[in-house]
Amino acid sequence: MDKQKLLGKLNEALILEEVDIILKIRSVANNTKDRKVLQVMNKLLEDTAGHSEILARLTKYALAEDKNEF
Amino acid sequence: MSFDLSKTLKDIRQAEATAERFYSSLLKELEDKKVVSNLTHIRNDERNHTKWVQGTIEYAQKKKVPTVTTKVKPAKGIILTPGATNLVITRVEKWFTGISSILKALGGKSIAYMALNRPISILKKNFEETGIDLAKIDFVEIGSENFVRGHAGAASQSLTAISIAVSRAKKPIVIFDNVSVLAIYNPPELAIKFLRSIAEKAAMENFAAIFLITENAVEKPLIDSIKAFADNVMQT
Repeated sequence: MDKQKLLGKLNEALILEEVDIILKIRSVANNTKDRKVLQVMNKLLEDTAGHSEILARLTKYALAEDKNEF
Repeated sequence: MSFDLSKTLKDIRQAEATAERFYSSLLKELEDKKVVSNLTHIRNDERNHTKWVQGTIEYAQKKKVPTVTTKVKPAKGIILTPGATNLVITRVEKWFTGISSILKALGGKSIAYMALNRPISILKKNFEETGIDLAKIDFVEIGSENFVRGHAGAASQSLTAISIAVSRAKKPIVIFDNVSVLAIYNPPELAIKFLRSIAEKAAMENFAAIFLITENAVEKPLIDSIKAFADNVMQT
C-alpha cells in the first residue's frame, strides 16, 4: 500500500476509534451506575484509547519512513 | 429525551464489528511488519470487544439495568481575559467529558470552536445530548484528512488554513479541539511554532485561546512546550 493511502486509512481509523467508538462508550458510562456494565465500558475505553495512541505512533512512523510502499 | 441503553450498546457492538472488518480488510493490503503487527493487535482487540459488548447487551436485558445520567459539571479556572492562552490536558478516554465541562463553564458566551479532527455533525449531536446550548457556538471543521491529503506539504498548508479561519472567526473565545492532531502530522517544532503564533494572535486580536490536548507519549513534547507560554494549565 502506498504511503498516502496508508496515512488516509490511519486517519480514518483514528476517527473511527476516537469518535464512533469512544463517544458511544462514554455515553453508556455516563448513563449507568451498574458496576458490571461500567467495568466493561472502562476496559473498552482503556483499550480504545490505547488504539488511538498506536495509530498516532504509526502515522508518525509512516511519515518519517523514507519509503513509499508499506 | 431518555437514554436508550440497549440501543447504544448495540451501536457500540456495531461500531466494534465495523472496526474489526476495517482492520481485517486493511491488513490484506499491508506488508510492513511494524504496521501489520500493530494493526493485528488492534483488530484482535476489536474482535474481543464485539464479544464483550454482546455479553453486556444480554446481561443488561436480563437484569433490566436502569439508566442514571451523570451530569457533567462546569470546569473551573479557565482564564477568559482577552489575550490569555489556556492549555487543557485530558486523556483520550476522558476527552468528551473534558470538553463538555469547558463548554458548560462558558455557557452563553460567543465561541469559535475549531474542530481539528472530529466531524462537527457528530460533535453537535453529542453536545446537545449532554445539555449544552450550541446557540452561540460557531463550529469550524478542519478535518484531519486534510493534513494527509495529496502531498507531503498538506499538513503545513492546513496550519495556514487554521490561522486564517481563526482570524475570520472574530470571537472572544476560540477553542482548538484538539491540538494533538498537529503533533501527529507535523514535525514537533512546526506545531509548537504554530501554536505560539496563535497565542500571539490571541494577544493582538483580543481573544482568549483554549488549546485542548490529549495526553500520551506522542504529545508529551508538545505539551511541555505549550506549558512554557500558556497563561493557564488545567487537567481534566
